[in-house]
Amino acid sequence: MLGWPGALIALIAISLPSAAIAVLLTYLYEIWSYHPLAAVAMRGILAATIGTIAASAWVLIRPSLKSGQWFRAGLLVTGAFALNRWLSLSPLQVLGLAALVGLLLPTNRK
Amino acid sequence: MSIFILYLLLLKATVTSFSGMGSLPMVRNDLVVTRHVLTDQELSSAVAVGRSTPGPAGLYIVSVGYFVAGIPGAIVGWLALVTPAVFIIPLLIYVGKKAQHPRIKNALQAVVLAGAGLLLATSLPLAVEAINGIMLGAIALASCLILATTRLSPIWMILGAAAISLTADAVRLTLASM
Repeated sequence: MLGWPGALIALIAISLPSAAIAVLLTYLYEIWSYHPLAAVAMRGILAATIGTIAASAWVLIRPSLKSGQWFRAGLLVTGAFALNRWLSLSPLQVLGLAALVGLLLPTNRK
Repeated sequence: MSIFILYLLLLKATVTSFSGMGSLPMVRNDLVVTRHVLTDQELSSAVAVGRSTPGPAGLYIVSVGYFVAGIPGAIVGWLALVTPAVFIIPLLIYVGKKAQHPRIKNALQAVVLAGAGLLLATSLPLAVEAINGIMLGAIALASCLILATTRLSPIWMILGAAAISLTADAVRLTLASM
């Protein structure tokens, strides 16, 4: 049992190789982004990236929908969207408000 | 921007997010909208890099750091990614039982749901920049639907999108030369 040092070593061992690959890919992107073929490929890649971001949002919403909390999910997702998009509240302000709303919501489930 | 400020901004984003991509709204707000040290295209590219890499979804933070400040930026990006993980175990031991309180669980669920709304709000300006045309819109929609309904890795969406884009361009050039 190595305790804290062991946990730290494990954390570094897990994350550092991926981080190094990310740096390498970003470096290659910077070099090749001006190449015509790479620019064409990047147009498709960036479009797919938007899809992956939307899918990430769905992953966060899905558990609440599965437990039948449609109204709660709809209220908080659209509320956060509107506050950030149209009232220009910062993400931190929106998250703080959401925590407050969550504290006030009824606790009895289904 | 000093490297320490960059670290603090990225740390703020990772600490306040409940998922890898959950930090994206905070990163865009701080680095693209407020401080103008990153463009929307660079942010989208960083996300693409992060999703192409074996590792956590939040790894795009490393790429963001690189775009802003080169290798030192990538290092602080990595540090901002792992710092919350270092403190999560003692934090869980400390607040473990308190987190089971129904009102605290409610608040955490509300923050996660609001995080999803923020992610969607952040994806809009990125989409306006990245999607101009029916084919690119179809690629975005297809990758979203496939990832939401299957367990396929995002890397296949990235590779597939690149292949479709290159093929469509080749077909367009061939037709134009006929």
